[in-house]
Amino acid sequence: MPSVWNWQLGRSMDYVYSESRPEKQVSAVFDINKCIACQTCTMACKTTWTSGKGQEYMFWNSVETKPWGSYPMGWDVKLLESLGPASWDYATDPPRYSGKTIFEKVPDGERVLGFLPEEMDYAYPNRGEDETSGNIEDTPYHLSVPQAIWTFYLARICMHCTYPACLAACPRKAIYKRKEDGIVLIDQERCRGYRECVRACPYKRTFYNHTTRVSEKCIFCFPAVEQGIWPRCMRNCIGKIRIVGYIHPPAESDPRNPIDFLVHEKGLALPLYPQYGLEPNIYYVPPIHSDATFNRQMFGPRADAAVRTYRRIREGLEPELRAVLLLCVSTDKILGRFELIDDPVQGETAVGYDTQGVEVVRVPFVEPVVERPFHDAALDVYRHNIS
Amino acid sequence: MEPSGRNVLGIVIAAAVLLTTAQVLGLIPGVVGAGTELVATRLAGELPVTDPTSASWVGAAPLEVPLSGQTSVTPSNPVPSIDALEVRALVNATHFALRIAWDDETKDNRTTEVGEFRDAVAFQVAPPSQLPNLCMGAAGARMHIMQWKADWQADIEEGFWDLQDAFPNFWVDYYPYAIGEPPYTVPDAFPENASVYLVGYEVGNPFSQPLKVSPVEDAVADGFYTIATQPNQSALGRGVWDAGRWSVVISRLRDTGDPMDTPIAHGDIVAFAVWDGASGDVGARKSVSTWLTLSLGSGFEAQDPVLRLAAMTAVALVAAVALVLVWRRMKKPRGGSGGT
Repeated sequence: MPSVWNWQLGRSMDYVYSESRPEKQVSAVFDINKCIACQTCTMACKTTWTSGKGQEYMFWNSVETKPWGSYPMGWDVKLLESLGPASWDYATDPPRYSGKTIFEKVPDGERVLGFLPEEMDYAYPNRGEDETSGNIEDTPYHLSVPQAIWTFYLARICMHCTYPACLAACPRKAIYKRKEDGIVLIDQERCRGYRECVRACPYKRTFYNHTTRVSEKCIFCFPAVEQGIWPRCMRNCIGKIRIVGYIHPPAESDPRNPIDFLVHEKGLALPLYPQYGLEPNIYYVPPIHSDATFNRQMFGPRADAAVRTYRRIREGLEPELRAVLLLCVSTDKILGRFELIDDPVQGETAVGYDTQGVEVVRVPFVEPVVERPFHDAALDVYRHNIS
Repeated sequence: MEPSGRNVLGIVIAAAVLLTTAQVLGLIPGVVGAGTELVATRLAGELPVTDPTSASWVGAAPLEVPLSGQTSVTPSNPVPSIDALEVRALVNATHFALRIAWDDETKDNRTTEVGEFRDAVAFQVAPPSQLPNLCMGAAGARMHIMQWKADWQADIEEGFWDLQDAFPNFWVDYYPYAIGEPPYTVPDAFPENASVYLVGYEVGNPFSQPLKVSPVEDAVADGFYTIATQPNQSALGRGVWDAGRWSVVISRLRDTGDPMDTPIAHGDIVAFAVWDGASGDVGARKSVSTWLTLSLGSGFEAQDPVLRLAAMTAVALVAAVALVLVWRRMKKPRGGSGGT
């Protein structure tokens, strides 16, 4: 089996095919701390791509409440149990994964360690919604700081992995990763409905269509991406938790590229279950109020550092991070570069450029505020809002 | 002329050359290194091309075909889900038919739910000159594959098994552009723009078509990963599951005229694969036979007219040369042994 380099693990690993990175790789960062589980992303996707017959149960985008929620039920804990505890070598920087990936702990005769969900596993997309990890404590205000109880919302789409398990498992070679942007697609003409991809994907982001009897998955809204526009789930995000862009491998990291800056330069955004070995390309700013051990299980050994970095933003110590987090949620254009400038009028201002280098968005750190008098003399009316 | 040792040797060599040439060219039955022979019984009348219960099958000799797990590629199936098949073959002037029977406790003819896999059986055939891989052939060694599928047959005989059948309490209030009322049957309720949301159906994937013609898919393969449904479908068949046993007929015109089809001729090599849906068999997870040689008897040799003409010319030339050589040797005076 070929050996490929997985930077998220800090080592080479086995994979079914040789390393073949795309010319560009789409990516996104989800800030978990801002997600309110409104499911607007879910519905944006649902109404666009999965409202056909046979797709009723499908959510290419879903939001589950952690720690209890999961869609399909138990997608994460089932595989974590068969893979075993993740072990990282902290002597190296960044830490090196010393356990086995799902391509390395493979049962005889298989290509990937996986499992096929049961039909009813898909029946509880809202299971555990808004349930916390423990009982409310007996305090006067049912609160303590820091919180003894915690919960957070985990929005998930296909990770458009560098080493997709779905692609590796398909005996038909019906799944391909686009050279131009790294989007992973299932060829709807070639698929024969074997469901090897459903079995293999550790994130369970390929779905079997009940009516067409072939498998389908998130397409990262490639018709929009081809025009430099964000996917539907990202554009419609009410909480503005999502940032879309292109990511480079760490050795080619561009410090002015928003995604590279968040992932490689600052280590703020982390992959979900990196120990699986897929080098997933959706990154998460981990929740700062959840259990640190749980964070490390989900986001790997750099979760604690990411939480510390996020807190530094709030303390005003990370102006460039603040610039990126402000800027990238103020446009639906895919940005290739950002700048933090000192505008003579507006002060600290973040400026974003598209992948062609054209400025498409400009956001001041502090929005200008104009105060108007309570009474409008010209109209002889009183204002409800004066700012 | 008196027979001598040298004359006899010449005749034997000539005969051997003639026989070998004819065998290589497929003009007379030869011993192909494929092990067991599947002998078809000739029938004067019509073949039971879709009837596994026909009395005609009684006259066909049964052949027990042992199966092993598919282990050439991953995902593999190290332990076969089905141990053996019983195969009978019938042939007449125009058609060829197989009845394949095997024990299977469960009838798995639905593929609507994520955990449902079909029972199926496939028959692959190739000309004898090839030595392709057992599964799917290889580049330059095209394999003609006919696969009967239990769910395709159920769709044809009972109507397309859709969401409302698998989930009777299912309800939906809206599909974009669909016409009519719930449960919105496919494909009638999904014309024009509505069908865009049935992507596999819209792009013509044979597995996504609710209306099927034959339960047997006519396919070709040039190696692993390459199996493709043929544009022209010419295979027929039907299966019956009774008391824990499938009996499935797969049949076809011997020579369809379709360049993608292997003409079924004496000496062809054939192999079988079977899938047990209840065991999770699908795709490469299957039980397979070894190669068998197909025996149809004389009169059913390969019918390629160009090959046949070339072969007959070659045999005639070889025979003529051999005869001339033998004749000249017999006419040649024997020096030193005669005299007056």
